Amino acid sequence: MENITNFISSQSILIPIFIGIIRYKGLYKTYNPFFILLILGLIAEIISFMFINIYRHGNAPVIKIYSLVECCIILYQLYLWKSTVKYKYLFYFLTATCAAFWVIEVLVFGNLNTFSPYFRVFYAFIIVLLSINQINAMMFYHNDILLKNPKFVISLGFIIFFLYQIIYEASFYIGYNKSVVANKIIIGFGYINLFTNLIYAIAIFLITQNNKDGYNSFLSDNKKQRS
Amino acid sequence: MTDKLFYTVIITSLLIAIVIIFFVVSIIRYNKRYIQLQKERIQAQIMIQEQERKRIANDLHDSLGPLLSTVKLYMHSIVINNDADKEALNKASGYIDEAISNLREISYNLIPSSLVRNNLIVAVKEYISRLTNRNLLNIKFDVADDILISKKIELHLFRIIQEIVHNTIKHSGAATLKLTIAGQPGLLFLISEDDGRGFNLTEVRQASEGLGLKSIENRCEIINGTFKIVTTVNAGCKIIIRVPNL
Repeated sequence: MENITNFISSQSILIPIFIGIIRYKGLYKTYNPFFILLILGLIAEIISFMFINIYRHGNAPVIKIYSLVECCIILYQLYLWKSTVKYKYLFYFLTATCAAFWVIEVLVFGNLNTFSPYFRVFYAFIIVLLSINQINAMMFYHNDILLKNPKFVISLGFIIFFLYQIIYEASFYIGYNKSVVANKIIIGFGYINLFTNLIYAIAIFLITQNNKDGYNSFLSDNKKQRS
Repeated sequence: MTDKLFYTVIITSLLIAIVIIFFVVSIIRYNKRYIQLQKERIQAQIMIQEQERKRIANDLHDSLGPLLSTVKLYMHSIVINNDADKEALNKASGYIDEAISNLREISYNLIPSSLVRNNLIVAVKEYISRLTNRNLLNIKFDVADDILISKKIELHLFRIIQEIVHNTIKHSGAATLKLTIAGQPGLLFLISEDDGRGFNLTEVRQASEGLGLKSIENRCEIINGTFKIVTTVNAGCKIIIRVPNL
């Protein structure tokens, strides 16, 4: 029953995806990695559900592979926004470091079938720092209303989600049956997931909304800008 | 189990602490960059303004001035026997003289030639003598003879002095203004003191009325200077400006 409740709350990811599909024409190319991430998130949730409920197998392999993909896509997304991962080589370095960390944790010291928190904490930490940098840069260099800026909203979502992920992984490491607080934190992850998905839905709406500002009909490379 | 819980909590807290510290450091870093950017913008604006002033002053001085003088010359070469016409011609000649004089004044205000040709001290003395001739304000200028002022800050200091004098005449109702330029190793002080009605600095700043003050502030920022205003209602105004003089 709990699995089904978790599955339903995790399917809140469908809200931003639906908005994105309906208003797909308005999606800027620079936000494509984010939209792909949402779709991959949905696929990962479905496969996880199938692993647990149909094949009676743990979803550790799905989570581990998805974590690596998620990390790389978010780093690429932040790189595309420029102001966070300012330099190409820094982006390469961070991606290579994260990939190396994953390989060492999963393939050298562990395996795909058991949960381990280190990589998930590590990349969550990196993404939180980069998102904070993105938000701070926007606070000083953007003249428009920040809450209407999709980059700001998405970065805010990243900070909330991945900061909680750090605490969640720590709680999971302690064990949900070993501490009442840890158990509550683990349960709370579903609600945080729901909340951030709603934030992402607003962000997708804002991306497509911004594209209707009238400038685009006068931009010669308008078609190139879209996917 | 207790150890595992303890270390997990410690590491998680540490990570969150790093996130918070990073947030604060990042804000400070961006704020510094933003201030620098603002400074560069103001500097660019003021430099453009100065260049434009120089261009207009040169145009006035080099093309309009000689043209008016030539007109006057031709007017004097006309032979007129009629007294009424002669009087009209003299009047016109007088107006042309006035136009030439006004043109020189405008040109001087835009960019004082003495500042370009000599130095700040000479330019300020000339500026004060021009004002004294018009009996607008009694200005006392005090400067040490051996003081050397960097060329880079001269124009900005001159504009600051112009702004102070302008503000004193326009707003203070003062009878006397004392201007002092004093030097210290690597530093230069410009002190102005008037006996006018003074003002409430906070109120002026809050009401965004102090455009002149803003201009002084911007100029100070460009030359990495700082300034202090000491004033209260009915007690005059004292401005102390400190700039690096390297």
